[in-house]
Amino acid sequence: MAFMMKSSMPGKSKGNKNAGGFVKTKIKVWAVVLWLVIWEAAARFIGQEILLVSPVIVLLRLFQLAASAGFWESVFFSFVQITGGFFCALLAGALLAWAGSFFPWIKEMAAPVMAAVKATPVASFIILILLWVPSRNLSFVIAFLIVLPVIYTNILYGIENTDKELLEMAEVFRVPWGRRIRYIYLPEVLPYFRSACSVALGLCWKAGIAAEVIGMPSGSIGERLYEAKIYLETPDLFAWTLTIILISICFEKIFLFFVDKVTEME
Amino acid sequence: MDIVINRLSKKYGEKQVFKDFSLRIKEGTSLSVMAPSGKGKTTLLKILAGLETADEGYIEGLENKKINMVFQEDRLCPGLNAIDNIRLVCGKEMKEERIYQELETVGLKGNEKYPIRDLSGGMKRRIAIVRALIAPYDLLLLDEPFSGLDTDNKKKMINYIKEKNETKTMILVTHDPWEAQTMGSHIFTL
Repeated sequence: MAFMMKSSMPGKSKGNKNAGGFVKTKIKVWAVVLWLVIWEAAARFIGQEILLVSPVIVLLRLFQLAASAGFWESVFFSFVQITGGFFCALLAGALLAWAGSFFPWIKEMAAPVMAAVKATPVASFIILILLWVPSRNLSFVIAFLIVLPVIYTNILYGIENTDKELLEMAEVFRVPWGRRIRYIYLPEVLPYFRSACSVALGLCWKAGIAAEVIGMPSGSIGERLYEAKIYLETPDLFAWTLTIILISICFEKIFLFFVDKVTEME
Repeated sequence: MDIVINRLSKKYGEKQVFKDFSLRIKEGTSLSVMAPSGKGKTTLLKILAGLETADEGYIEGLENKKINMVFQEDRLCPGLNAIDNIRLVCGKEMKEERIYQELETVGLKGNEKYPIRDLSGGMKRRIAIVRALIAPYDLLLLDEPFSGLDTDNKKKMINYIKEKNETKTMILVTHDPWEAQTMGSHIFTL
């Protein structure tokens, strides 16, 4: 997993690359349509809904589900838990990175914890945390743990790579801290922060929902997915998965839109 | 208050930059410090500015002094324009008209609102000099301030500095004898 996104830094990369350093290709409508046709053809060929459901049926099932209040209650529950964990990790990661950049002992103290969190399988965390916290807060804690090291590492990297010459200038000219943060640190850190958010948003939804499937908090998307699996309701499984994908993409787009607006202002 | 440098020594690894260096700089003096490259001119200014610490010795007379500096590099925020770069150090108290006026004096009229990254090296240099002179100070440190300027602009900036800095203490480091003589009332060779 790429936690450091140097290639996506402005002025440091050539071409259209994403956080992992791979060339980012814009998704074309024709490619999506082609894959939907292949999916439909495969579903018809297999002819067993329980193994592979047609995309049309998935869409119809999604509309049916969306018409019920329970659907929106589950979406709301999971959304609040997972985005809550994401925002708390954002705040904690930023504060910790800020403190770590000024006090090396904080950075040294945090290093093994961050390394452990990064390396530990999500499933281990989920099982362990289920022992400590109620299952309804599990996805919050898991989203927090998954996002924290990504945000911390990237913001710390951004702060540590802030132009030392500009910082010396600010020191000599007695520039107040507020202005230093606004005009010297923020323009350097924001691109790293954006890349970190882009990666962390996808990760937190995947891990958060996985946590809900294992912990099965009542009224969550994870519980609905688990029920779909137990009762072999493949259309429901696909419809809920599509829901998660849509929420994750929409939230990521909206959040990054605001981050980009702030970056443009800088 | 005079600035008194007492037996200052500085080493980078095994390299002794200067040893037991002492000097008294009277208040209001314009001092030119000359030395070939690598003899510690910039290090001396950095110690005076508080950006480096001496290995031995001490400096008196810097307490509560506001120091402004023109660095060897421009050290301007690339995304900000000239006005905002100057305001970064001066704050909102500095009237925009005053900054426009100073920039016009050094031949930068019409370039005030362009981001620094879009300006030429000579323009950036002039902005860095204006920034150091416009913000209030007691001691002005100039580290090769005219590097990258053509002859006309160099003369213009020398006149600008001399005009603006009539009474304050100024220390210029340079390897150019003409700059040292033109700018300094006293010349010291490291």
